[in-house]
Amino acid sequence: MLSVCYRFAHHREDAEDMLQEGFIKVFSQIHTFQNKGAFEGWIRRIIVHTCINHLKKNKKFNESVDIIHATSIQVREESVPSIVQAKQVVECIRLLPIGYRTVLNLYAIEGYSHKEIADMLDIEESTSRSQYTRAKQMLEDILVKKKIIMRPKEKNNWLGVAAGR
Amino acid sequence: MERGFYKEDIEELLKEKADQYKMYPSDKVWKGIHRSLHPNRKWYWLSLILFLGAVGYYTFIEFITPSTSSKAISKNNPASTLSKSTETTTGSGNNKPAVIIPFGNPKQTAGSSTGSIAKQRTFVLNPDNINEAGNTGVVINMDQPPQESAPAGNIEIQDNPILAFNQEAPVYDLDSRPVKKFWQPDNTVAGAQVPAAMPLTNPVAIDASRLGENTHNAQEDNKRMSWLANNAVYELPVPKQKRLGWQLTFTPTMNYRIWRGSNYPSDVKTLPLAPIIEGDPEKLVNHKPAMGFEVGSNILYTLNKTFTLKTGLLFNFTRYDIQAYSSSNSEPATIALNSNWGIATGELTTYTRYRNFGGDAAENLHNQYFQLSVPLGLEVNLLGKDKIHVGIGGTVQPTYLLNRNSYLLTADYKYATEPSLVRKWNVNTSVEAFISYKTGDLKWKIGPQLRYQLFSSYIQKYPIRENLYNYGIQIGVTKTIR
Repeated sequence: MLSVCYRFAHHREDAEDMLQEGFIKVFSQIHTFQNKGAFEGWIRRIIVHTCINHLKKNKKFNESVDIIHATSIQVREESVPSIVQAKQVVECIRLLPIGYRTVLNLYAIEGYSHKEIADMLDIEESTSRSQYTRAKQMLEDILVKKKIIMRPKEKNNWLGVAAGR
Repeated sequence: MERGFYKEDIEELLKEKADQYKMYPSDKVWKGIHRSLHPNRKWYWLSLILFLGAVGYYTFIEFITPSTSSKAISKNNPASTLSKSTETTTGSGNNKPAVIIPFGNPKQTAGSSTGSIAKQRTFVLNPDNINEAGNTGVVINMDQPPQESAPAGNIEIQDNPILAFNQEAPVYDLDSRPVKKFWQPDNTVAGAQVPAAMPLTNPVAIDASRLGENTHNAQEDNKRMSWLANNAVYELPVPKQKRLGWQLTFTPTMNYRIWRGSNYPSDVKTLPLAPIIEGDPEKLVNHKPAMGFEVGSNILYTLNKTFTLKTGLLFNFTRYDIQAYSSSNSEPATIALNSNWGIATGELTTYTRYRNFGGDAAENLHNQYFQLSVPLGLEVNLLGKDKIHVGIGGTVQPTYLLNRNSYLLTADYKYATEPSLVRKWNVNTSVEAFISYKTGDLKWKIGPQLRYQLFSSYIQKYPIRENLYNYGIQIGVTKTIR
C-alpha cells in the first residue's frame, strides 16, 4: 500500500503520512467490513481516498497543471536495463504534474471511471478524460526518453522493448 | 492515432509495473498507527489518579486530621498524654519563651514540711520553645505583675521545686532541643532524670509559704486571672488575616450545544457524492442533552471582604446524545469544508455507517469531550454577615481537550469521525451564584453555575459552529489555609 501512496505523493515522507492516516481509518473502521468483497480491495479504496483527501488538505491538488512543466522534465539518457524495472515506471509516473498523475493513477492503475474521478476530484468528467489523455501522452514521452519503451515507428510494436523482454 | 492503438497495452503495462513495485514503510509508520489506535490512555488515567490522590491527601490532611495548633494544645493536656511515655516536640517557629504558671489551690498536707506531695497545678505555656538565653523557662510569680516575672534561668531539675510540686501536669526539659517531656503524672520514666517530689520550700521559683497563704484567698485567683488576661492581650501575637483558601468543587451538569451555520458552506452549490438537502440542520437532526460533571480544585486569595481571586484546575466531562441510524455497510460520507476565501472549496471523504436519516437500526451516539481547564476568576460577596453569605462569581477558563469521541454531521447527513477537524485548545467561561455557610475554617457553598464554550469545538474549516454549554449545581468547600 505504500507504493500506492507513493504514486500519489510528492515525497516518500508524504506517502508514509498518507499510509499512516489510511491504515488508522482501516483499523478504526474494520468492523464495518462486511466480507462481501476482497479485503485488499476495501483497504485499497480507503487508502486511495485518504491520499486524495491528503492532497486536498495540503492544497497540492489545486496546483495548476501545466504541460510545459512536463516538457522541462530532465530525463536521463543512460541505457535502459534489460529488464524493465517497475520502479522506473513508477518513478516516471511520479514525474508527471500532480493533476495528471492523480487522474492517471486513478484511471489506469486503480480502475476508477472518469465519472468517479470527477466526483472525487471536484472536476468535470470531460476534464478527467482530457487530463488523462494528456497525462498518458506525457508519460509516453517520458518512457520513450528513458528508453523504457520504443515508439511504434521504430518497431512495429509500441511496447516492443518492454513487453518483449 | 498510433498511440490510440496501443492504449490498452500501455495501461496494462502501467498497472502491471505499478503492482509489481513494492515498498515497505518504516517502523515510524507502524508506531504512529499504533499510537493513534491505542492512545496512551494510561497517561490520562494516571494524571487523573494523581490529581485525585493529591486532592484526597490534602483533604485528609486539612479537613480530617487535627490542625497543628490543636496538637500543641493537646500536649498541655495531661489527660491526653497519660499513655505516652516519651515524647519530643519540635520548635513551631514561635520564639516565645516557655512559661510555667501555677494556678488553683495547692493542697498541702500537714506533713508538707517533711516532703509530702504538693497538689499545686501549673500551666506550661509554649512548652515547645526555649528562650533565646537558653533558659529552661520562665516561672511566673503570681504576686508580681506580669512584667516583673523572673526567669528561672538554667535551673536544674533537682533545684527547681516548681517543676516538682505538681504531679498532675507533665514536666518538660526545656534545656534540651527539641524540648523533651521527661516526666508525666503516671510517673512513667521517660528520661534519665525524673524529679522527685519535693516540698514547696525553695524560694527560687515561687514562695511556697505565700502560696499557702493564698490558698483561701479568692482575690489571688482573680489576680491570676487578670494576669492571664493581660498576658493574652499584650503578649500573645495578634493573628494575621487568613487570605488563602483551598477549594474543592463538584458540579453535576446538564450539557448541550449551540449550533450555527450549515453542513454546507454558504458558497457551495454542489458537492460530489453529497446531494443538498434543504433545511436548517439544527431542525433536521435529533440531538439531546446529557449529564456530565465537573471536578475542580482551586486556590482562593481574599482581597478584602467583598472580592476573592480564584484559580486552579478543572476537569470537565461534557457530552450530548445523538439519535442516529446505523446501516450494515459503511458508506462514503462527504464532509464539506469552508472555502478558502472563496477560491477553492474543500471536502473530505470518509466512511461511516451512521446516518441521520433512515438505516437498519436506531443508534444512540454520544459526543463526549474530556477537558482540562485553568479557571481564572473572581468571587464577589454581595450579602450576608458572619456565617452566611450570598455571592456571585465568574471565571475565564483556557481549556485543553484531553480526549474526545465526537461525530460530525457530514454534508450528506451522516455522522462521521474526523479528528483532524476537532479543535484542541479552546476557552470556556462560567458564571455562578452561590450561598455560603462558614463553620470554623471551612466554608461550604452551593449554587447554580453556567458554563459556555467561547469557540467552536471544530476548526474553522468545518462549516458548523458548535459551542458547548452546561448548567449545574456546584457544591464546594473551602478550607482556610493561611
